[in-house]
Amino acid sequence: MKLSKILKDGIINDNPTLVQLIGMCSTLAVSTNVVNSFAMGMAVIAVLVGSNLVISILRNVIPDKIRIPAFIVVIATFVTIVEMFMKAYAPPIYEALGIFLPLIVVNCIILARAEAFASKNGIIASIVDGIGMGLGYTVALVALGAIRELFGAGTILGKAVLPASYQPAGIFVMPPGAFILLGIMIGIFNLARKKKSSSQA
Amino acid sequence: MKETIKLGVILMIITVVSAGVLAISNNLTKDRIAELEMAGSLESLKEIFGDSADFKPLDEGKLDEIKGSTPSVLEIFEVYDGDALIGYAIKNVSKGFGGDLVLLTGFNIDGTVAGLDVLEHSETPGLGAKAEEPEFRNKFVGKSTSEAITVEAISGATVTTDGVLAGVNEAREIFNNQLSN
Amino acid sequence: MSIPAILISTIFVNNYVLARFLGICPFLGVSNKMETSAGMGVAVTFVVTLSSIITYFIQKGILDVLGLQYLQTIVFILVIAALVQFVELVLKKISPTLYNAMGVYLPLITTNCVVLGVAILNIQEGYNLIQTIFNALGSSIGFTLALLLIAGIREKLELADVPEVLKGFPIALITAGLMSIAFLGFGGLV
Repeated sequence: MKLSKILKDGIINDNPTLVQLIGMCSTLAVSTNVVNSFAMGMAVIAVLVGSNLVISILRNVIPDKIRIPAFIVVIATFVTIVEMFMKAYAPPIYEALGIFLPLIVVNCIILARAEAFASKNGIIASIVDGIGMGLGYTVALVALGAIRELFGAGTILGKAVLPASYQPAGIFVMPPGAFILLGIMIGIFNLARKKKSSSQA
Repeated sequence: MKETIKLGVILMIITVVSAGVLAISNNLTKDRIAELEMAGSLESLKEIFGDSADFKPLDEGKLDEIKGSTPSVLEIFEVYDGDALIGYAIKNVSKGFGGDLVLLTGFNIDGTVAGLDVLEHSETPGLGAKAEEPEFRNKFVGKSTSEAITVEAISGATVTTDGVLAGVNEAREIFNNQLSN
Repeated sequence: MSIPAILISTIFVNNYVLARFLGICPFLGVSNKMETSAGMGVAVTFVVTLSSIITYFIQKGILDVLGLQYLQTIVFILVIAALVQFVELVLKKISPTLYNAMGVYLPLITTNCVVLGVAILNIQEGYNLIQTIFNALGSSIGFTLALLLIAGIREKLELADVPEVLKGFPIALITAGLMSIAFLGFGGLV
């Protein structure tokens, strides 16, 4: 498989958030603004690349029967490392992501990639797959975060971009806004993919 | 049976290696984390009392006594200017709208509020979250500790305001009854 | 926090699904029918409560004593995975009826973030054993409630004329958003 194809699959064709519809919890929870979204995306990329790499290396050593617990241990190790370093070097972001940082362990994206890709493919391909899937997640997350921050607080990256007369619609940064916006985003993505496939046909 | 043992051993090896890796990375980061935790309070203390002041944690026996009667107290600092005791800062927990509020209230020894910082909260962005902005916090500066402290509520966030006031007034009573004499 | 306050908070005010975003995957995945939702709810309640008690003792009895708090995530998730397997085995042997009702949902529970989330939050909030048990019960009842409510709505939605691109997940998410607005009304109750 070509590496560029693996990358493109992760970001567009098999986008974990918008197409595969997995890893929803953290997507909804941390996307209150662009900074949190981006930081969470980076944390997931780090874990995903790390776990894909190690699982790809060990893919012939780990017996089939215990592969799930073995994967979980590897993933949990990387999550804890990311957690420690974030706590030490980026404490405000560590606080903002809160419980969703350790919960990366049960983020279906990571286990799904370990099971579906890294345990069957070579090291380089697995790393690229981790980057692609991670970027796909990050892109969806940052887009959602940007919309929520813009309408919910009138800012982007903490800087005011809408005129002061704009009354921020707090509902966007509250939980209901996350659900409704993500629903609409997936709908729009569906529409775009459908248009593309019908124009190709 | 042999198969089971083999599987167990492999899983065990993976787990032990993981634990080892984590122990190493814990050692790499723990000093910095501890440093940051102290620095977090220190920064807020300096914001309230100014850069030149020195801070010392309250004597542990006395802190335990206060914690015994008021469990919501987390930490208390003595504030010094050179050798002279100029005030106290009390870190305590109160209840807001979305969850716990962790507050740090500074008191001058002459019986006025030196300042307030909201260290942790989970209030609604745009409403209760305004409690952490200086515009709201500065309303407390200079208030006398001889009577219950009140301020104008944040519009749309009465519960948050009440939570902050409850925490500040609890700290005020500790300051009046257990510290300032 | 008192026991009634914990229950009201976890079931209504800070509902794990609608306000804290935990357990979204099963919430959207199995909420097509009332019947499956009820089965999932029972299975989750059982596993969350049991795993909260076990992880509580592991944290207090082993991790805190040995100063190994940094192994929390890895130990908790292994305990949960093992527990789920164990419950599955025991149920199969002891009560085939119950296994038939709950069994299919059990493998899905390991990666349900409610389970690990509640276990970690119990420790973070500094709950004692009694509070831990009621926090676990309350949060899984809240999860079940949200699941049943949306399943009821989605059964009706199947008959509605939803735009093609919004069918399935998108409309379920939008419905969840509206439910979440309703649950905001519980804010400030405790």
